[in-house]
Amino acid sequence: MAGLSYLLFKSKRPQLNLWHNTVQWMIPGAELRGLHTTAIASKAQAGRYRVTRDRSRPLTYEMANQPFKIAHRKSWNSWNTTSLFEGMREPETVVEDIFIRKFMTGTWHNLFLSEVIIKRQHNMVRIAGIIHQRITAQKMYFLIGYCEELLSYWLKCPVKLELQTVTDKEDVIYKYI
Amino acid sequence: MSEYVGYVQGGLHAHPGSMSRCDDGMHQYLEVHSRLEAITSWDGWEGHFDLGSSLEKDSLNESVLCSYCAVYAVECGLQSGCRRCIWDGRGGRGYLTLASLSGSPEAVVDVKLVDPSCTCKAIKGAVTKLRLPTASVRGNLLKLRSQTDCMRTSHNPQCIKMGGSVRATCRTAHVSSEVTLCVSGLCRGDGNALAGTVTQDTTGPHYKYSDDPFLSPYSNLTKRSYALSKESGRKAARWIREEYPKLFLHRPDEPFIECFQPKQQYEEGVEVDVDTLVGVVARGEVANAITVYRLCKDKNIFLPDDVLQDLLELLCFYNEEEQVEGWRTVRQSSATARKTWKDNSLAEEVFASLTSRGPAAYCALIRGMAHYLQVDRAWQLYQECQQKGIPLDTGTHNALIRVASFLRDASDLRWQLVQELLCGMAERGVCPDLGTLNATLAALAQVSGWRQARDISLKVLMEFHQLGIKPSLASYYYLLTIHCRDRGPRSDILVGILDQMEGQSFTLQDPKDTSFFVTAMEVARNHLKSLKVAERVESLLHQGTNHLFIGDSYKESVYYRHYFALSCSSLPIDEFMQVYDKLVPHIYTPEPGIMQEVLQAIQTSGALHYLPQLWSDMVLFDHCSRDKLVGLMLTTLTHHQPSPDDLMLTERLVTIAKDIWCRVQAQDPTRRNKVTWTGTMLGCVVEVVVRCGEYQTALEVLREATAAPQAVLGVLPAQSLTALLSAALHRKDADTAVAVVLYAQDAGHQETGQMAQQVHSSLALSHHHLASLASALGRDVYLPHDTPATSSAPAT
Repeated sequence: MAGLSYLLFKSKRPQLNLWHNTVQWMIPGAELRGLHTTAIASKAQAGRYRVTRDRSRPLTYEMANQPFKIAHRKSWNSWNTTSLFEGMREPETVVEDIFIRKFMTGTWHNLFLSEVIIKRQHNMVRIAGIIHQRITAQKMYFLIGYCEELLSYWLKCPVKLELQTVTDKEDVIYKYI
Repeated sequence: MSEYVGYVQGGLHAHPGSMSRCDDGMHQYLEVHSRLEAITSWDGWEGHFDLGSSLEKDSLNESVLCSYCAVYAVECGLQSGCRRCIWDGRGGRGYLTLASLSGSPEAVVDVKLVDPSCTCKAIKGAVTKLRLPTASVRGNLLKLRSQTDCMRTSHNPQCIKMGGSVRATCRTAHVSSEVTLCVSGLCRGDGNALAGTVTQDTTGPHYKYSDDPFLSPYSNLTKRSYALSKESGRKAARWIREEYPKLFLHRPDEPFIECFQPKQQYEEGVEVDVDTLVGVVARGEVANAITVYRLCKDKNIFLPDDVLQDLLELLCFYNEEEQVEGWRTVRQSSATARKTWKDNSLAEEVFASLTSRGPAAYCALIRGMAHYLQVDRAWQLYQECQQKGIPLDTGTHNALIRVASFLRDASDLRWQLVQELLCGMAERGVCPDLGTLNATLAALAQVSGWRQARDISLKVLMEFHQLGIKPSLASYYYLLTIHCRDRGPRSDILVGILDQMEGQSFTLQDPKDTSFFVTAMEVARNHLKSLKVAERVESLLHQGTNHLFIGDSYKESVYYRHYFALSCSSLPIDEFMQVYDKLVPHIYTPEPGIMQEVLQAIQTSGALHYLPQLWSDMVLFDHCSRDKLVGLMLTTLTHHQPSPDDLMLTERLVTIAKDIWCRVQAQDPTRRNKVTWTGTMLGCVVEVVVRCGEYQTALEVLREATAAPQAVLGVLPAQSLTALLSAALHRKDADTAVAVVLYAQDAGHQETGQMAQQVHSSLALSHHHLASLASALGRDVYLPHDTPATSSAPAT
């Protein structure tokens, strides 16, 4: 058996990439144990949804368009000038955006039907999104006042919420896959 | 400027002598204006400053806006730069303006580069040497310009381009304040030029509501409740910050904004000294000031007199109560104003602990007591000052004049006291000001029942005019209350006032300024009953920034209520409906009383094509549970005569009637205020639907009326019954016809006999019908010549 593997090694083999080669050699006797490693699967799977058998998964327009469609059929969810030349505060802005998104989706329980859009303009942060009309308008106003005030205390700048409401979920569903 | 220091730091504190917050709208205005007032902008790129010819002329208030971020100028805050101007490669063409920081034209500008990220030592060194002790601001700016030119050419321009902030300290005659120059092409003016282009938007809800159909309020109740919900959300957030201040202590903002930081708490163990007290008093935090004062006293720390004086002023102004942040509902001034001053409390203690009680201390205490209606003590102190010869200032005298009415009972005695006070002022050489004028007029307004009050008020106005004191809106408000009284003679003073005010724009000088427009419109409606005058008031309101003087939303609704009612009674219906379309529902929602007037106007004018719109509005405003309104709507509907050319209108009106029927039937029986059917209302429903061909609904109505007669107040009128009968006969519906006749008989209508005859002659009746008719009416009434057995074919 050992002889066979040695022979296999010596014979012409397809060009493996460095990682594959390394792995095979890092584990002594890899071939003996039948340990197979595959090539790196450079497969893009971000922002893509798996098709279901009965086509029951609902997708919003944003979900339906994959990331390479950004700037073609989609636009960004965060708008700021941090990525421009000599843009400042890029990491802080990213972390703040994560915080804002968690905060908004957590405060509005299962009410956001779209992504949370964050636009930074001068010293203001404008937060936009589509909300489901599952709670009364009075409760929505309470949450709006609360979010605006608390986020402005957290981010130390004026925060404005610009929300739109929708009667039922189906209104934002673009297709089913 | 000292008033605005608080604003510059991002907070809005009501400092003594400054404007008080009236409402969200006014607050926003004040905040924007005051924040933007003390800013300079800087163009660092193009190698020159464009001072703008307006600056050459004079005025520190001229605003020159960036052509790029002019759109955002109103929203520009203090903190960050207008990066858009920098980065879109157009070089950020900003203008340098040193907006007025105070009235003084002398400004010494020290420029220090404080950007911590700037590594260029040379720049740092160069900048700190920049002191410009020149007399004119213009001179300053020119020097600044030349200096920075040097800076830019000789040093690394990148440093400035980095967007660091340069802090400029402006020392003026009155006060020293720090102003942040943002080196980024940010252009700011005082926002007036841009804000002036934005007029009232009648097509959408008020800016405090979200611009979404689900979240826009239409009825008065929802307007108030949405605003209150939002405010309560804010309060919840504020509570969280007060409860857990340690979570909010991080400082990502450059420059630092104090307003966003949680308030410093002072407890027992905290180290305090005089400076802490000074700081707390300067920020206007009353509760903290009291705590720190007590702590200082416990530790026997010596407090100098001026610190105590400031503390005394703070306590007197706020009556030792902490000012709550946020929107305060304006309490309607109660007729019985009660004393709220805290007797023998901390303010008086501090007063007593002053080593030398000078005029300032007495002034503060008297003013505080007078404001919170501790009139007797205030008067006592005043007498004391007079005896000891301590000079008091104008504000104190004004406060005393305001409360003079509480000291005497009879009208002429009150006026006598006011006169004494004024003479006292003149003797001691204290100059009167606008406050004196308003206080005197307020005192006269208290005795407005007195016959001589009117003449005296005019004389007062004349005298102050000679002194060069221009009346404010509050003075005009008092004049209106004095002259245009309910039970007094008619006075055209409003016309005179409007003539004086034409083309003027006003600034807020007195808390009562916001009452002028409401009172003016009320006078125009009730006292003068003139739409022309009302129109003049309305156009004055929309000039410039005068719309801010409408006060809070309650005053606005009262104002528009008067205007609306006056238009309704004066204008022809079509023009009035134009006014209606403009104002309703976003600016003004009609109350039930006003809606009634509108419906009556439509009824008299016969313009029934407005009814569908009115009904849908009534549904939106939640007027459907008001008996009177629903009844009035139904009676108005009956005036419609269907004709072939307005089938659409007929259909719509029938829809209204059916909608009313369905709504009232579907009402929750346990509700408190619900509509109870009256006979007239049901009759109207029947008439309308029958006239327009809707037979089934009519049947339902009749069924309801006959099945539950005790639920209906009164009976269906004969007119409606005859209409229904003719429809039934037309359709050869014997059951209904007989039912109608029986109902008419029960109701005791005179036409029953006639109706019975009609039925008998037109239709073939079964035994059952005949029997019931006979039992109800008596055999001979309806059967003049026929026998029951034989029934002839319908003749007519």
